Amino acid sequence: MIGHPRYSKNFMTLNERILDFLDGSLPAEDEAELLHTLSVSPEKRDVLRDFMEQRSLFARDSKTLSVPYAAEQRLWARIDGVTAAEIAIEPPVLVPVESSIVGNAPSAGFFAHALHGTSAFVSAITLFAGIGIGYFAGSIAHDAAHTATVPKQIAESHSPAANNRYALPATATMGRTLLGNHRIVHSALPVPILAELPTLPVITNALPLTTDDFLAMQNLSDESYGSHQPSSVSPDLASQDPAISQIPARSAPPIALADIGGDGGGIKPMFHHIHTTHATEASFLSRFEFRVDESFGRQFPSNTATNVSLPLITNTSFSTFFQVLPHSNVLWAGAGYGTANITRKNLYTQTGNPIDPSQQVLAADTSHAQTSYIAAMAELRLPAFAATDLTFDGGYGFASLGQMLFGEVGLHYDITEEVGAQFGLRVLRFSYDLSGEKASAIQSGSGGLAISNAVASAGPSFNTELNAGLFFHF
Amino acid sequence: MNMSNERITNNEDRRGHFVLRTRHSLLAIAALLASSAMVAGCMVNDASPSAEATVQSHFFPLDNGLIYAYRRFNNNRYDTLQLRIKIGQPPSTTNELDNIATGLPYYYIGFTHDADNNLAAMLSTDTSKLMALDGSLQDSATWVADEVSGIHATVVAQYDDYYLPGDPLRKTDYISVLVVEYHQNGQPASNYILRYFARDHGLILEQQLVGPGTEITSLQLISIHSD
Repeated sequence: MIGHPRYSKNFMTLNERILDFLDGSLPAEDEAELLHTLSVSPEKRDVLRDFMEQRSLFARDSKTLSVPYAAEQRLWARIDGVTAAEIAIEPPVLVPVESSIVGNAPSAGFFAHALHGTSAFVSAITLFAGIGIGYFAGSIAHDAAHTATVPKQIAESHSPAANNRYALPATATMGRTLLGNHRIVHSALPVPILAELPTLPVITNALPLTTDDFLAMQNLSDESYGSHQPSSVSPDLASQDPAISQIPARSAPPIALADIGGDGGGIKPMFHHIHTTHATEASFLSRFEFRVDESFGRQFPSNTATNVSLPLITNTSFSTFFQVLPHSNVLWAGAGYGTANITRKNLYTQTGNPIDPSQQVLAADTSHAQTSYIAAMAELRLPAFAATDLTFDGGYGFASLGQMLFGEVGLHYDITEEVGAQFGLRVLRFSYDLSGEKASAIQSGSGGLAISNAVASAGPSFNTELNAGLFFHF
Repeated sequence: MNMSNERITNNEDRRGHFVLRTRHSLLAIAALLASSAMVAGCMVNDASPSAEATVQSHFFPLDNGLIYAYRRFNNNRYDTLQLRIKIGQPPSTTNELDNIATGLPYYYIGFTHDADNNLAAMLSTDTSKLMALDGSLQDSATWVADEVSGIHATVVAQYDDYYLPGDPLRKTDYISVLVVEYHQNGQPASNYILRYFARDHGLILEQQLVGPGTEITSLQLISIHSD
């Protein structure tokens, strides 16, 4: 495989390498190089995300599509009739899952006998038309979001008005090619690859197959159709088991868990930077987050009296955060309202100047006080663990008694999609102005007044708090 | 071997992401610190302590013609004393605080250096020479004010703000006031003279106390103006 021209790095585009990587068919060396390339290029990671999203869309579409067993039997019979090859088909993988569709399925036996040759021809035409539509639709869908209503299309295509020609829905037959009784499935091959492999008989749907399956069928196809002519079906195929019977249906493992190394051990890519919330653009409303926090801790400076009266403080806050970047939850900005216990000075005058007892002096006392505040905040979230971010908060608030600057380091844990909890260590610096209180104290009396050094200075106070809270968002 | 390679790959991967996250964390912390520093500039300024008192800053400004009006209490009587600063011409002559009413010098003022070559402010009369301020004027600083009379001076208080007792409405705020106690050897501890020196004003209050709270003379500044 290494010598295959496709796997020459010089001839492979990034899209091809990503596709082969997703299929697990990319050689180990190229795989490592690709992972490195992805790790350093956000734009290329976006390309990878697009392919993965497309793949998941195909997988979702396939689950909604179920072709009745009888209808599929009839379809194969028509094609076999054209090629004059009677092949017994093993029970298919797809089974009906919607009773309504089964109920709408016409009697295959009647039409098979009545319209044997004509219906096979029309079916083939319909299939090729579907392939063409699917091909071009896939080209568009490669760039646009998939919004096809698959169940509706299934109902339409299986309605009796379809003249019993079981044309598959356009979205379901997107990129699908039937060749004889061999159905080769390739997951989510985008248009460029199809264009590059015009002779490869490929049926693309969302059936998740491994690279080995794909290659085995490709080899089988190559052997049977050495000239890669889709229309030249060898009669020997009749003696071979249909490929569909060899393909076990199984769910696609997450790409992050897929063993894609090809050597048994393999390289298991770990897309640390692909976060589900990063991959899709959050709606405006979903970018809001609402929090309720309660914190408890100590205040400084403190003295014996204040420690006895209020050994521990509790503060409460309500806040709203907004995800600043629509594609990233790293940066958040918010605003909040809360109450906080702080330490501040109180000024008053008293007689008893040691120098001159007849004079008054300005005195101060430290006390705890409660203040309410509004604050603006910013938060950085860095992924730390599963569903848990490491957060760095900073904020500035205007309180009824002063101003506060605070910072917090914490963990932000998503319990569910809507609700979570957070914990952190917060340090709050409270500053205030005593000039007004000082003026009031001065004017409260008459005569000599001495104001000692720094007695009226308003040094900052600090709170150290353990913060815990709940948050929710839409 | 494959397991080993896989383990190595995973370890390198984790190490790489650890380094990446650590880098992110450091950047975040640096950003927070920077923002905190910027916001801290918007914080309320704490009251900064007054600038250090010096001999020159707290003594009379040598501004020729400046008139100091004092309310004097002496012999149980109050009167107003107006003193004009007279700068000696030529400079070698002494500077005076002349009593405008009598035309006689009330104090001789000037600067000199003490034995340790520290700048000192002199407040003298015809009969005494007093080193009113000397050297470093920290709280509790002391020096020999009059060696002949055995007077020691001590800085007993420093006020950020001071309102004179004779200012009932507390209209005039004197910033950075030094209170110096002058005590003569052999006198009771309660007998001393207090002089209050305010920054950029000089002497604003002088009290002679004989016992706790017993004031026998005082000189309290009323106003400062020029001719």
